[in-house]
Amino acid sequence: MALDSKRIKGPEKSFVPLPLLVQSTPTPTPTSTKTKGRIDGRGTDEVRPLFATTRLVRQASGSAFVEVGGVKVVCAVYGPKPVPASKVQDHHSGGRISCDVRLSPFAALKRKQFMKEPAEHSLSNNLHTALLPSLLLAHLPKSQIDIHIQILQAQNPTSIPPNAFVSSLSLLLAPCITAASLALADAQIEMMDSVVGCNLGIYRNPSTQKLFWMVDCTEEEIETRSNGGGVWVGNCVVGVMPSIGKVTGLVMDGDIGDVGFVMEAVQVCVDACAKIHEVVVKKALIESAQAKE
Amino acid sequence: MISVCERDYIIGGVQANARGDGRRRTDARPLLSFELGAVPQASGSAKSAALLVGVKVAIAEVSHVGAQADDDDDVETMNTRSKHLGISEDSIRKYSDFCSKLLNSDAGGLDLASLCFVPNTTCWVIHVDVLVLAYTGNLLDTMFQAIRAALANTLIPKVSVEESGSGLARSFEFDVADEETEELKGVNDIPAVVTLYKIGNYHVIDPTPLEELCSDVQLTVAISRKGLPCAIHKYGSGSVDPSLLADMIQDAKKHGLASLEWMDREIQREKLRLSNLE
Repeated sequence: MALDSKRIKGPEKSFVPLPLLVQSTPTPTPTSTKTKGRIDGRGTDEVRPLFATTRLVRQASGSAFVEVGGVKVVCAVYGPKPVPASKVQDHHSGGRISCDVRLSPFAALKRKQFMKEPAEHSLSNNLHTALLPSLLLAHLPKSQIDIHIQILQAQNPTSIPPNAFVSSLSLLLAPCITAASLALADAQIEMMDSVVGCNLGIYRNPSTQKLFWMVDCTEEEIETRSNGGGVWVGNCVVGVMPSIGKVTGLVMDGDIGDVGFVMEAVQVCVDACAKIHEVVVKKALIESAQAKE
Repeated sequence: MISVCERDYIIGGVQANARGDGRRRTDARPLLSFELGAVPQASGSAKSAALLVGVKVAIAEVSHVGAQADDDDDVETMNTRSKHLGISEDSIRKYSDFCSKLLNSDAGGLDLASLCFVPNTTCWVIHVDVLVLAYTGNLLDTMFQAIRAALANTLIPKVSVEESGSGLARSFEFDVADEETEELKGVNDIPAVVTLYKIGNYHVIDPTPLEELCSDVQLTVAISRKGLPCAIHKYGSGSVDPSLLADMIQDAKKHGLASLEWMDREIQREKLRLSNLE
């Protein structure tokens, strides 16, 4: 891959400092997998506390900050701004959005090279798909909205170092969706509804071979690949417009069971998103509106 | 580009369960047959009327400690005539992304662990390149079928590994055979990919390029041999009701199993032809 020669590259390989390794190795807890509960004692359909606020980046048209567990995401929205006439491809369709998701080089235990990785591209693409249905782009012809997301922290500093940097990327998509939609609302861009993201881990019980789900998995629960007496087999990220109850984004991977189980998993995510929307997102939106008055 | 009248005509047709070429909503066109081994210098290849897939294998070092996935399928759609064919760069990246993600996952079928011959350091990397010769719609499904056929045709050289020393001084030496080759493990378990296109309030499979332009939601489902979905991705600018999803996945399952059965017969037939040639 071509590297930016103006930048100091940093070492090719990076290692987790020994003290962190020693501290985290005993964390895979056989005791907690024996009992039915989750590692952090939540119920199966309970989401982690989520913090959301707006107006973090003052220069942007709208911005948002979302923090859930060890994941911290900043989103800034610029626009709608006119696209130069030479770049408008067709005059019939409405505006367009561009999504750019970047992981900070210091976002995880291992340093990431500055250049964009394929995983960041797929994160941007999935975000684009999840946001599009909520926007009324037909009302914004010949204009563009830029959505920039910077992931400040991708995992809990005390958690187990993942095998590869990208393994927890599926966990990042849900907070990205929530943050981006919040920032779009903060930028006072017309929308059908705000979009809320939620992830769900799918586990298999090794003795009965039955599948079961856990809402809003932490990176720990996925990295140890075991939880509540089950083995991690797949995950699912859903973007939902909670007021309309429609699914805007859906990414499911792994051994996800039959149609009935898939539908159950999606429905659980829709319910969880409605909860997040009711409690956190609405409050952040009201605060944002009040600050503008 | 599609005009408003054409769009209305197609949406109305889909609603009435009658499509432009006489098919119903869940009818697929007859599947294209493949020719395996069409590219002699590739490790494996498949050619159909619309696609040419070449597979190359290479040895690579895995740098990160404790890696499990040891295969990095690099699916690149090199498309010299993409402008002319009307496929956007974006969708090509999207398709490459989906294929490599699926083949590298646990559900992808391929036995990735068997491709790693020196534990944690050295492994085979499989590069898959797809060349689109003609665009007749529903590219991802046909592309994945062709990739599946090419992987079934792929032979990798045998490697013998010698281990010396123990503990920290443990080292490995390997030797790649010139003549002897072996097939990839787990090719039969690679799932089939079915994409459902929502047009109006209904969904169709195997659309033509014009029908593709009318669809606002695409749901790509990978169906394993057991008939279970193992990856579901939503694309497109529209949203979908959860209740519609169940119908879509059910149809994907039906069509995916049929496509797997057909692929089996096709690969069997081609392998027989190749062995007769020798």
